[in-house]
Amino acid sequence: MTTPTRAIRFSFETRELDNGLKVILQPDCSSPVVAVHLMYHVGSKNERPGRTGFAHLFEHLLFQGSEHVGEAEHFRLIQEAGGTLNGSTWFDRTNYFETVPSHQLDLALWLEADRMGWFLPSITQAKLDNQRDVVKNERRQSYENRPYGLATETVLQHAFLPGHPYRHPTIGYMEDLDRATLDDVKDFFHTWYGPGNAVLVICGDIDPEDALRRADRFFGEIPSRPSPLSPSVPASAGGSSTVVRLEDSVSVPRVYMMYPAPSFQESDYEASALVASVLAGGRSSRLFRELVYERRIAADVHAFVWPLEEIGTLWLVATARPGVSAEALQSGLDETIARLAVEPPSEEEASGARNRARRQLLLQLESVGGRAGAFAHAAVLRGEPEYVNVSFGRYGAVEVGDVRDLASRLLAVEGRTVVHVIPREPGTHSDPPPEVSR
Amino acid sequence: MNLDRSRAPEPGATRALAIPRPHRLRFENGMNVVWVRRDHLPEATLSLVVPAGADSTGTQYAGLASLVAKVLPEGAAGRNAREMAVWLDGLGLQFRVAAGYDSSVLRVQALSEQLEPALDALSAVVLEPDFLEAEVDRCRGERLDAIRRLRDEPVEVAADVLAELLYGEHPYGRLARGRVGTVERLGRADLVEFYRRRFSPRVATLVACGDLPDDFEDLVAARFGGWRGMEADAPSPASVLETSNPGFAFVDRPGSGQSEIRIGGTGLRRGDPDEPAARVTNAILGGLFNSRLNMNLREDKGWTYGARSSLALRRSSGPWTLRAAVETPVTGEAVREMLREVRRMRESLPTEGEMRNSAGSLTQSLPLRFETSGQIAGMLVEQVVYGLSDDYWTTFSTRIEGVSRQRVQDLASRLLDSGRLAILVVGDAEAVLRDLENLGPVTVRKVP
Repeated sequence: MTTPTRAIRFSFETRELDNGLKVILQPDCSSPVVAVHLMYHVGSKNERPGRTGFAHLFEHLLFQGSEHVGEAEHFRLIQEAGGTLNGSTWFDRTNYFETVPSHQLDLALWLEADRMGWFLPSITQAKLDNQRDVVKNERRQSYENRPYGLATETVLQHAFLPGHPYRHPTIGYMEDLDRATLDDVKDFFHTWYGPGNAVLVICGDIDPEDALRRADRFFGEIPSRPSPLSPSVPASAGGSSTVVRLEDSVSVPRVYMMYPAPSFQESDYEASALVASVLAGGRSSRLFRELVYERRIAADVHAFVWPLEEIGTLWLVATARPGVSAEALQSGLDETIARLAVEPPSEEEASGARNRARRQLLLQLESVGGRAGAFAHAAVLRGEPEYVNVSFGRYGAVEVGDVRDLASRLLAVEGRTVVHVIPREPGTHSDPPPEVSR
Repeated sequence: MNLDRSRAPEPGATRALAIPRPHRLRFENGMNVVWVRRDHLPEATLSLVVPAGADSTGTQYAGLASLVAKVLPEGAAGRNAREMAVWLDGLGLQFRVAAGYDSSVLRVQALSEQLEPALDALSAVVLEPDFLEAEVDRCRGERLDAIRRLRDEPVEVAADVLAELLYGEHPYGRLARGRVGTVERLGRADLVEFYRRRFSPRVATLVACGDLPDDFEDLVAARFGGWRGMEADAPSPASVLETSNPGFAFVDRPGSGQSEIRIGGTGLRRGDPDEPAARVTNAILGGLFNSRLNMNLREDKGWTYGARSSLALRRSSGPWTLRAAVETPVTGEAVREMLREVRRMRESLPTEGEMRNSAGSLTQSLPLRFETSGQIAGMLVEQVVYGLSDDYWTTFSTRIEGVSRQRVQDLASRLLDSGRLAILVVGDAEAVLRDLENLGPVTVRKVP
């Protein structure tokens, strides 16, 4: 196939309201739908010691109503209008988003503006207590009561030095969730939820000038607030020289490895994603071929990078086949990775990785909801919404030499963190998650 | 600014949703092609649909359709699994083969610059699978590993046990992936036989949506027009026999911090005259965030991250399932509350507000369901699998809006009768079983 690659380009405008709220307007009239995405530049990395999980708990509270919006009304109104909505919290950011039929744009703007401007009058101890219970159940359901569910947070604890803002998981620890108070809620809101610390993206069936007027109408009178200071992040992750073993209610071992990698802001971020893809981004990848097809010691293997703001991470996760020990699987992983030095990634491997990355990106950008999120992410973490348009080309432009260089630089034993999740001895129960030292 | 913030803003003028009208074509060999062009992004979705679902085999063959789906792309047109992987990955395709209860679907998502090679790959997999003995053995081994590993997951254990409680030896009584005992017995001959009898141009449809070239028809004809298959065997699914008193079952998972609760009954087939009423009822009971189950168990009690219900509309009557994962100490109370919500659906009319909320969510959401080419391809697949008429989606809202409060209560009385419902808890026996036994006789079952 010699068909030239079509570039993608979404036209957009960036404006700023008088109160400092940045507004990105991206018209696309191919469907009568519009996405509203509000991203605040605050995440679990901004939590105070002893208050892990607070940014996420706070996100839950923002769905409990505001001065003009009753408890549970946010969900009801959007769903009744045929829309979808949610919020999410991560290390660097918290986002709130709705996709609605385009004639309901005002509804989404009104709801988001009310909780940015008029949240505090409605918050109560009862709402805090209720959502604290819900979040603790989220932790049980998604982490503690799920096989391998505590592996990722165990990696973070050992990869980062005490005090590092990426050292704890966004869901937080149970005992910290218990400590959250109403005063914490008010402080957090005042510090982080001002218009100057947020980006509003409106993407879909809009006229940009009209949408801007509407945004100003709903958000314009919210007073500006001083910009918060983000924590300074130590440059080095640390890493753990020894293998950490974690027992779990599982029948086969799984190996987690995390390597320091380029952050989302660095110029070789896309190349790092291709390194992950060459390693385990499909059934033809190095690790899959070697460990699943050939040696048959792994059931599956995955590799991915996290688009973090300060320090990147590259993850390799492999599940053992029955009867294979974590140590044997680890040796297989290490041998295959070491072979990259003598048999570096080929042009064919790099080209497949580029194609996969561009196809994945298009699937993400196809819906207005996914695209609004990508614009918000690029604006908040890179200060560069145009990144959405150039990223497609950047993945396509990574040379095989870049992949080779980066692979040899990143995949060093020194600096990585390794956790082996192993089956618990029969007869012993789970009980509390592993001791956390902070 | 004279903005009244105390009430939700009025909606603007509605822009009508234009539900895309597909192009259609039928080749002489009987194969149908259905496609919609959407060229604003350089990508496309291709789905090849055949009525080769898990509902077409007996429970002794549970997992057969699903294993065939797994093996198909692992060796075709003389390429072994490794060579196939290099081919598909090199093009950057997302190549998924999935066997559900109703059908098997091979779905390819590709950059449009790779559309021709994507069609080559799809036709090789569909027309010329090799079922190499070594690959079949490896795939079966991988599948068995996966089934054993899923026994660690309380959600998966609950799904497996509930299916059998509700459907016994009907094909719906097993998950599509099958169980260790059935998959172990599947040999290459079973796979080849299933493929030969179910994969035929006479019953196959290729669905496409996206940035398709002008000569798309010719590209498809060149690859599929000459497909010769035997007279296809596409049986209708067996009708579901009413299970009476499916009972209360428990699976012990020592040390569980939460209990997985399921309450379920047989629901309706896709296309049943009561389908609109069932959709409305499900939205009120547990389909929406503001549903009764979620507002009670999550937003009022804080016992769970979420409680919901779902209605599986299949070619025959799929299950209607209520579900929640609750913290262990409140397990018994949570089961009681869920049963109370079911009783309330049966014994009283829903409120006007609930009717508005559920109908709105079902009818106003159509534009969001036809947004991307992947979604549109999915809707066309649905139309093929369930034989939906061309005006199904344009008349959908009228049917939903025609559902009365009384219809909702009548439907709940019929389908959510306590004698038809199974209850299942997967949790820590030591902590919760004694309390559950106060609710009625409990059968303790092992992880299948």
